[in-house]
Amino acid sequence: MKLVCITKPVPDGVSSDQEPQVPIRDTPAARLHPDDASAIGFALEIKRHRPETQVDVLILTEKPATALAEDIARVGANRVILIKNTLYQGSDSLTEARIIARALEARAYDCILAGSQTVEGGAACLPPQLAELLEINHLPFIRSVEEAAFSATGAVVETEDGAFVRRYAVDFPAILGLSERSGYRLPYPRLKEQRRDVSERIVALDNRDLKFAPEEVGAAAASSRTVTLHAANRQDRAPEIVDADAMGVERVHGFLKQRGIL
Amino acid sequence: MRRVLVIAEQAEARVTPDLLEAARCFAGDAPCESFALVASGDAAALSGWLDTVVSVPAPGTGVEAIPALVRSVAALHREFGFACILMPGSQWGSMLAPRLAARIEAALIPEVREITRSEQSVRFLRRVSRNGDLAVIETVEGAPAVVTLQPRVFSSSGKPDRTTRFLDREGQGAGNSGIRLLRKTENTEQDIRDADVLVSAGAGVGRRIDELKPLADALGGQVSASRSLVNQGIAPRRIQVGQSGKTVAPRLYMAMGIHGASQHVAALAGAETIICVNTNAKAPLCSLADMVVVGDAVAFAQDLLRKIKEEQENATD
Ligand SMILES: Cc1cc2nc3c(=O)[nH]c(=O)nc-3n(C[C@H](O)[C@H](O)[C@H](O)COP(=O)(O)OP(=O)(O)OC[C@H]3O[C@@H](n4cnc5c(N)ncnc54)[C@H](O)[C@@H]3O)c2cc1C
Ligand SMILES: Nc1ncnc2c1ncn2[C@@H]1O[C@H](COP(=O)(O)O)[C@@H](O)[C@H]1O
Repeated sequence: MKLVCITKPVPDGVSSDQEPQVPIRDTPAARLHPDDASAIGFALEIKRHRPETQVDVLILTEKPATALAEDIARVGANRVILIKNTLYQGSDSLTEARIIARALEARAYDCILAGSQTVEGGAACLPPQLAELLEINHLPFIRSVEEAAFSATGAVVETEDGAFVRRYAVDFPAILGLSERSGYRLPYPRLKEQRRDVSERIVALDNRDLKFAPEEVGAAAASSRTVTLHAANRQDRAPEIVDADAMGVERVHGFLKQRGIL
Repeated sequence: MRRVLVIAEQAEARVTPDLLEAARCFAGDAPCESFALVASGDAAALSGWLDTVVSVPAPGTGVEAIPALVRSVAALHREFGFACILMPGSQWGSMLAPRLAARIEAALIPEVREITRSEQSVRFLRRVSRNGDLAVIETVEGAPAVVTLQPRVFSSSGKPDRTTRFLDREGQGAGNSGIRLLRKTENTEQDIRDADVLVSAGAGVGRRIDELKPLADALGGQVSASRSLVNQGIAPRRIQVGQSGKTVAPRLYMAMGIHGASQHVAALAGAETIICVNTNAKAPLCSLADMVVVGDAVAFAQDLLRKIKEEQENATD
């Protein structure tokens, strides 16, 4: 069985409810997106029970990520593919999906594992776009996978939203979006692994391999642009202060209506 | 003429007023032809609200039907050339929109909360970080926009005053989509990280935390707590907000008798609006609030709930 995890390093300092998943080294791009850590953790769990499973991890990033890639290789990934090229900088999610799709062309896979949410909390955009480019299914917000039923041809998973839990059977190839709530974690490298040379398992790809024209990638290919950015600054707000009397109730009620909450 | 398309959540089978309002904002004062795609549901109910309503047969209403729906919308886009396609920011919409944008090579603009049209351009306002930073986005010349809406920020002001034409198009559905829903059950383990509204209890509420539940229900939200109540064994740890609890990002956070220790505040950066109810207007959390109510938290919660109920009853009379 061949699994590919697509993984996004996030700048350290992004808050999450879990402890950092990867032993942090002194690199700027030190952490994994917590959903992605669950995705890799799941793939490695499958491999632990079925050692013939091939787990490749694919990372597209401009930041230094070699140390992170080595750590992922040390906990059991067969290969970590690092895609990097300055041309790709400033790409939007669709362009990134195109880059990843091209990198996957030469590789066989049964299932692609990704995250469900952006670190900002919204729904992830890249995995469904990749699914569309590859013309395969995409199922995100997965909170559990039936490990015994997981095979090269499909899986049974449970997804959740605020209101419902849904159980699905999915045929492969497909992209499964895991949630950190699935509880899968990246293992820590064993002591004897920690200094092992894993460089032969790190594969670097750049535009010589993927051959995009400059206008096909980067900011030049983006179909939208940010005109202005308003940084939120809570400290500057002067709150309205009311008493807990009938007038206060009236004010808060009005405020909730105005904000569309009521 | 410019054209805008709205796509309703298939499982709900109706075009919600916020989609219509967003379409109106997109049109501005310029001439614009509005379309709705109805894949399951009642096309006739939209009479008067839009210029054109297109019905297509769909192989289902859930995620299993999304790839087929994407093909149907793409075919419609080839026929009419939409400048903007709007859908709800639900889980379903957030799965449909990126696939559609990839298919028709459109700009994807998620979780939009405001659309403004000027003579030269149209601009989309969206939240881009957990801290509430906002960005104004424009599409590049000629690129259509595929937009999801932040829930409940557009409220309708229009009237059903149009002459609607109804069209039928063939579905682009495949038989077996490769995803089968086996079971659907209510999610009983609600997670405070999913909540739109949190009514959060601190030491100032104490054992009366259960008395906040009716207000949380009325606001469509959940009850959460500070660590003080978790430590005292009054609240379960899964509803604790804070550095050693959960990071939350609700649209409204009502801090009821919560002081605002740094370990609590650390998990609130994503809260859009904060209302503090505290006997002490100088509690640190109050300085981060949009509104501070000075007084007893539980009593205020009950008064506010009574007001909400009264208004609802008046509205249905
Ligand atoms: C390592 C570490 C991690 C921590 N992690 C967390 C965490 O994850 N989450 C967390 O919450 N805390 C955390 N804390 C604890 C934190 O420092 C505070 O002790 C805790 O948040 C206090 O909770 P509180 O505001 O509810 O209580 P208090 O500090 O006792 O504040 C009670 C507030 O209620 C007001 N009040 C009193 N009576 C009323 C009334 N009748 N009506 C209205 N208001 C009233 C008071 O004016 C006061 O502001 C952590 C601490 C440490 C050291
Ligand atoms: N640069 C990237 N390299 C590899 N995977 C990515 C990348 N960007 C996004 N992903 C995948 O898409 C998911 C959501 O990312 P995003 O939409 O960028 O927040 C992540 O959890 C990853 O699985």
